[in-house]
Amino acid sequence: MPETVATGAAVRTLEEQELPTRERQRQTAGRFPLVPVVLALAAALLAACCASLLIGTESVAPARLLTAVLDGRDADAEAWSLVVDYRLPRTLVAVAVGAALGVAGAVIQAYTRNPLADPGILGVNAGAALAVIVAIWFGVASSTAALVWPALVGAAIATLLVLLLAAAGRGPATPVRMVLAGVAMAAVFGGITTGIRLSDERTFERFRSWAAGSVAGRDLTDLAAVIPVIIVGLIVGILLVKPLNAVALGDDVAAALGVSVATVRLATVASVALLAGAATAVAGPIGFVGLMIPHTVRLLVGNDQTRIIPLSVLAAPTLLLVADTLARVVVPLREVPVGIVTALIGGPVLIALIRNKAVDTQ
Amino acid sequence: MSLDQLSPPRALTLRVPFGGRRLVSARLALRPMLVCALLLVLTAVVVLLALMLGKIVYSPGEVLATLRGLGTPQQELFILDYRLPQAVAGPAFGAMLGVAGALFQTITRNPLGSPDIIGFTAGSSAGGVAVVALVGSSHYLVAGGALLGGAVVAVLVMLLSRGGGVAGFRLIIAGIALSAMLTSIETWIVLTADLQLAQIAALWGAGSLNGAHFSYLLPPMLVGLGTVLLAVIFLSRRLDLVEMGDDASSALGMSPASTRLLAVAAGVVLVAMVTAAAGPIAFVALAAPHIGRRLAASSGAALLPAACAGAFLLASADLAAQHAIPGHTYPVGVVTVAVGGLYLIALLINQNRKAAV
Repeated sequence: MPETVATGAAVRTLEEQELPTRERQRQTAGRFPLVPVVLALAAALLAACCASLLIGTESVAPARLLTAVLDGRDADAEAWSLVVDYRLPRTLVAVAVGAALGVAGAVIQAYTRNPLADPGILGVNAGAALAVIVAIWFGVASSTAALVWPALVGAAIATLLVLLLAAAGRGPATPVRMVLAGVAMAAVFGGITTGIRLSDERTFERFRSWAAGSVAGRDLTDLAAVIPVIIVGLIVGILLVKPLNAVALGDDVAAALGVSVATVRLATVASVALLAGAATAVAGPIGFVGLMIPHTVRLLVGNDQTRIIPLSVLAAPTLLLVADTLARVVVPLREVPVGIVTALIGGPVLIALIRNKAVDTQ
Repeated sequence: MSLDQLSPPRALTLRVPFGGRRLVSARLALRPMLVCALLLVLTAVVVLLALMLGKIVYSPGEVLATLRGLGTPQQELFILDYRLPQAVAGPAFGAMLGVAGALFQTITRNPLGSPDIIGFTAGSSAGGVAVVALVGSSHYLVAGGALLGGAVVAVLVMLLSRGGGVAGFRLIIAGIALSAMLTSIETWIVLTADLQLAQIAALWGAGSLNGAHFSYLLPPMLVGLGTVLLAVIFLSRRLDLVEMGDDASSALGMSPASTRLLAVAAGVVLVAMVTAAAGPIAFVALAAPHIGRRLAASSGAALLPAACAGAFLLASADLAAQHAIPGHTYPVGVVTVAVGGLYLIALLINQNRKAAV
């Protein structure tokens, strides 16, 4: 990102092309050394996992958990069942969903060169949610394993639509216009989803919490249904790091550097659809994780996709775990769906991003 | 310059002399008047259809006879008691939303600066839902909550987008961010409230005129239509001046700041009244001013064409929500959000083309 605020997208592209090499190196160099950042992120993830396992309506002291683990489950059956049977699957689901959403956000921000992009904001999650609801309406069994495929299709269609909308017109769409297109698409998808849910309220009663985005009550079969998809999506995303760095210099420069822009576009759609679709299938539409994580990682290690995307895998689950842990305790005895917590954290971050002059959002 | 612009505009000049001074003087351009009349006729047709259709279908003659008080008791029950409130509420609320949209789009100088996008609708809605869940579901309380929510969000969005200029995109993104937060708070309230309250709040949160009744529709309708009338009479000219630029407006003796304040206040009242009575009905406020302005070929705020276009849009949307899919009635908010979203997408593509060329 250039430090100067360019007025038009076309101008920005030119500036990026003409940036002196030294300046570009300065921007891509990490602000902190890589190894301590990785260690800190890993430690934060570990701490968040422990918190997610121990904290809840009924908190479990670490000592009780240790007793249960060391002396067998009979030593403290209650602690064992709370932590291992209930919270462990939920924690694992949150880790998988968080990683998926974080990387999906990083990939789509890098490809669209849009600092405000996020699978939630751009309507991809809403597309997946609509496909899931339509599938249930047509009688597909409401298990995660059966619903992951419609979710993937819905996410892929929504991603394609957003990219097509951005490509309509000659120049690249400005970030704000793209966000608006996403909001509009999310509105259309959401309206149809609401219409279907209202037409058969009994069938969709138990999807009320899912529709707000939640990892509560998910078990290991749900996780098993989506984990292969998420892993494939993560691999595609990580393979994209170098091409995405080239695309950041502009489509022409990327082509000159031997990167096939069409292939990158296809791989981006595939990666975002796999990740956001799988995450939505298991946890419902959760927004803003994909917005916040790439920016946080960029602050730590600089603007280089070879670092941002892999580190998002490490950082994003921490955010979702913290949000989910907060969701359990913030209102006594009333669990808040985690999607609501991420929206409440993410909204102010979005406002801060547009108020920050260093982020070129115009 | 085309020949069209050189020829004198076809207009009607209206002057009411009063003691040597002109008390009222207005130039009424013909085309906007004709467009408004046409839209009102179309709206009347839609309202007539809304009164005719239902489980028992009446002929236009029967409906008109019943409206004049000549119907059978059964016809009076169905047409006057069941269908009339909803059929009248559609165009009335539509006109209110259209004017609210035109006001906000003019002061933000942004065709996308409608209350749906900059968060006021979400604010009113969250305020209303919070009142239903936490205080009580009396209609006056809900209206108060909606008004308060809309006003708080109006202030917040203006504060947060300061420095970017109200016309800037900051306004829109701040609105989207606040909308996302408010919507999730609303969802959470609905999820955690008692089942009965949750159902009231959920139905209301979808934006619906179904089961409308005059007992609670009349106050917001009267306040809203009164505001519409006042805005059209007193704000049209002032807004046109503000559109010419703050300096021009000041030079001509109209403080742009007070015009903005009045317009925001009127807009918040309009949105809050509609939201309090019917829940959040999205995108009518976005589309109606555009359609009105384009049909009337007028520049400036074009409040009256916006009102007429809004009335027609919401009346038609509600008719579609009631009868498009046989056997199902939907909240009108579901229809406007889906169709209006498509409209917004088309608008963005169009703008993108223009901007890039």
